[in-house]
Amino acid sequence: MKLAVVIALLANATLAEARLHQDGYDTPTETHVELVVGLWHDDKLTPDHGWNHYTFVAPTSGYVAVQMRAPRDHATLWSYLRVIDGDHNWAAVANRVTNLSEVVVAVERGHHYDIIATSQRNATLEPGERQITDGPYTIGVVPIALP
Amino acid sequence: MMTMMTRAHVTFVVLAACASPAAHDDAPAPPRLVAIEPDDVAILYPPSGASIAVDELVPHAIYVRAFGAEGSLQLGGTPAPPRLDELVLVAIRIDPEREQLRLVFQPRTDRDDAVHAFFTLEHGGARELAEQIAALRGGVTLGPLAPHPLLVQPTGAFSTALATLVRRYANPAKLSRVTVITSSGLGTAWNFFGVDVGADGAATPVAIPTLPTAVHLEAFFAGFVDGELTGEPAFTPESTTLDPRDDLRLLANHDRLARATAADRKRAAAAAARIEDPAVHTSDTIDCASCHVAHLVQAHGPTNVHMFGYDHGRPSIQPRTIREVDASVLALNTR
Repeated sequence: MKLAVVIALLANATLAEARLHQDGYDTPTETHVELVVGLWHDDKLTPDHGWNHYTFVAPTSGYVAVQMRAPRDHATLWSYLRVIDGDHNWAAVANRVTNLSEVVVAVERGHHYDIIATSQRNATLEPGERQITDGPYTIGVVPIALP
Repeated sequence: MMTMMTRAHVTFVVLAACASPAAHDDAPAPPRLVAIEPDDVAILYPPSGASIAVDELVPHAIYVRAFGAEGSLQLGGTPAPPRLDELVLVAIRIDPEREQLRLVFQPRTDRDDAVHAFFTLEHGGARELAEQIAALRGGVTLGPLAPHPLLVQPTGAFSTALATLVRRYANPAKLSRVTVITSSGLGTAWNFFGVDVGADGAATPVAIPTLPTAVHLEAFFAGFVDGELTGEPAFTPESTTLDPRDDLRLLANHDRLARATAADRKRAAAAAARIEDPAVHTSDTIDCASCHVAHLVQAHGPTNVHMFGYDHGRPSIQPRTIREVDASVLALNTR
């Protein structure tokens, strides 16, 4: 699969810190969805719910690719993913053609990961600027084998 | 896309026995001696479906017990099954081998979902029902499997009488299994799951052949490239007891297929042929996704997982279904 990946950023923020930092824009909506390797969950972002929070518990140790995809050339939804593991978090934004973002993470069996899906527009709002993202996306965790 | 294959016509038509007398006053008259045709055991309604409320056939309480309250997401956040009130009956299948009646429901919405309900028939019930449907035709010979010509006018006598038969034979007390297909991944993935329904109405997740016993949902991911099969992994979860002769998964990823050896390609193509052969495999021996995509991965067309129903409003009749129907017709006309 040709992935239009993306920028991967390593930052230092816990989920709580991320929430605090993002409160100026939105508080992540708790979806109560636990993602499962190989299955796709469809969801949407709206001006009132511009950040969605998921969880993932790794069934095995190894690498997974957390992926988020929205319709190509969507006017307001530009896929943006953040994966949070304690003091570490990784983020990725899709290119505008595929609107597919991906974060590859080395995971440990039984370990819990937080995942936030939003739009690049929401992640870069200026203070006081309102969210306008409104559209569908899908999110999944894909097992991958790296050499 | 309308998937139509030339079917092997059964040429040695023989007499079918009379069915037992009708049990209800409003039932059709007892059938005359008539040969069973494919359209008597596999009936495709027009896309608008039958004028029968689905919850007359599949009790809401059992549906909720099986899949949770309305809107309940399934494993991994995969979609909830469609609501009963958004479904229409689009197809009927009669299986004399299993003495089973299968009703196929699809949503009125643009969701690419389906619900199949299976009813146990009494011994000889499949023959009885098929003969009554054949008698309703009044001697008219129908062509290849397609939306039933006599159902094009939903208010016609055939439609009314067929609805009466469906209500009689699809006895909710005899509901034995409900299976569901949902689509996710923005229309790029399909999820298969179901429950067996006990005599007391209890629902037990269907064990899917070749998958780990603890897993009761299988998914097929076609990938995000339009018109290509690039899903990786295409099948989730991975089969644990799949016979290599039945492993078509290589065909489900064009990138991997392009890198495969000729021997591996040949083996995967042979597996697809085996899976499409009802004399080799049934739902008791092969997983849902392998069966539902066996034609797709060979045809290299748009993804369509519907064996006998509608694919985005277009009739979908897969080769395996035609073979199953021909086997049923043969059995009913020669016993």
